[in-house]
Order: sequence, then C-alpha cells, then structure tokens
Amino acid sequence: MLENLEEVFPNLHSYQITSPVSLRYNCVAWALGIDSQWWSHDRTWLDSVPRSLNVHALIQLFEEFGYAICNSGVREAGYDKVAVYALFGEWSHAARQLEDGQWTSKLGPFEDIIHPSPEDITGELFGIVHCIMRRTTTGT
Amino acid sequence: MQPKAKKTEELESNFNVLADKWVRETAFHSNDYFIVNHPAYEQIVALGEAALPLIFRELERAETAVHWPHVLRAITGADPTPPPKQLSTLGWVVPSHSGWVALDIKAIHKAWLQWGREQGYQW
Repeated sequence: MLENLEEVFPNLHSYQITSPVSLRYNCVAWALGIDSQWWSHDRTWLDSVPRSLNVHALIQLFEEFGYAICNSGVREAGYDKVAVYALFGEWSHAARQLEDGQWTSKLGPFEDIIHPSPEDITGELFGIVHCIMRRTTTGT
Repeated sequence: MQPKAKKTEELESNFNVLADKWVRETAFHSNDYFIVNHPAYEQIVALGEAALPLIFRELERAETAVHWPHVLRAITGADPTPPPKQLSTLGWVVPSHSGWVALDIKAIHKAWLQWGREQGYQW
C-alpha cells in the first residue's frame, strides 16, 4: 500500500490513489492503456524494439504505438500524451495524460495515482521528464 | 545463545536491514536496471544460499515482492519460470506487431516458491 508518497516524491503536493495494488501491469503498460501485462524488455515487449533498458528503447516502443515526441505536456484536444522519465540514461517511468489534463501513473507494483503534472514525480527516484510524446486520440 | 543460533540471528538481522533498504528505495521501479544496480542488491546476493529461506519468506509474505526473483536467480543460478512466450502477433493490443508475452508475476512467484520447497528449503 502506498504511504508517505510526499517523502519519496518531494515535488508531489497533491494526488489521488485510483486503483488497488496490482502485479498484473506496470507504468509502461498503464501509459499505453493496458492493465493486463507487465511491459519491460525482459517480459512483455515488441520484437521491433530493442530489448534494452535505455530510454531510447522506451521512446521507440511508444513510437510503435503511434506516439511522436512533442514540445509540451499541456493538454491539446485531439491528442493523447505520455511522459517518458529517465534517470542516468535509463527509462525510469512513464505516465499518461487524462482528458482533464492531469496525469495517471502506475507506481511499480503498487497503486495508480493521478497527479496534476508530469513534474510532480520527478526527483531522485524517477529522475527527469525526458520527453513528452503525443499521438492523435484513438478513442480507446 | 549457541554460536549457530547467534549466527542465524545476525544473518536475519543483516538481511532485514538490506531488504528493507533495497525494497524501499526501488519499490516504484519496474526497470530492472535500478533494481539490480542498487548497492543493497549485491550485498543481499553476497549473503548466499544461507539467505534463501529468508528470501522465500519475503516472497510469500509481501504482495508486492516483485524484486526477489532477481536475487533468487543470482544466488541459485536456477530459473524455474518459463521464458516469455513469443507470439507472431500481439492481436490484443498491436495487431501488426509480433512480440513477447511473459508470465504473470504472481505465477512467477508461485513457481519460485514451489522450486524452493522441492529443493528442501523451509521458511
């Protein structure tokens, strides 16, 4: 169960827990809108993407799902957005923007949270927002 | 206290400190890089076979104990879980792509616990 999240993420000042604990999926899956697999290079992954821990492999994964790097995490009508986080050149987390402009994150095997901005969970643990990516809204 | 009992108590105490630090500082990660490059990971692996009952206990006890199969593989050299299955199409999510689908993590934990019992470990 999540507790003391503000200690782990000093930039996180408000959040909502929105799911139970689940081992079925992780942050990458959840950013892709999937809640039934744990997506990482040695588990569920695409053949067309290098089985690597490097942040560029995760960016390529999102590209395969139709995302392209964009300039801003501000909500834009007609687009789905994801945030890719990196620490020491390795991907560390991914989050997905909701229709109201807030962001949803699955925290490892723990719960999902909604947080106002991608930067809320930057810091020692997840590093920085490496990039924001967007695709035309799929309606899923 | 008997020397053997003292040694066991020291091992458990040392393990608990390392396990708490490792899990607490990597709990929200799902990229293995951060899990196996944490200093406490190497220290736990260095505890060796004597720590296996403690690890199996943690794996059984904690619902979110996703890290322990890494340590179990490193200490034992075994891996009782089937590798991810290759599928020619991932029709359920990206119909045009092929890829790999892994076992559910709970199934991985169950396979390790069964392996531990079969090897005669008690926890």
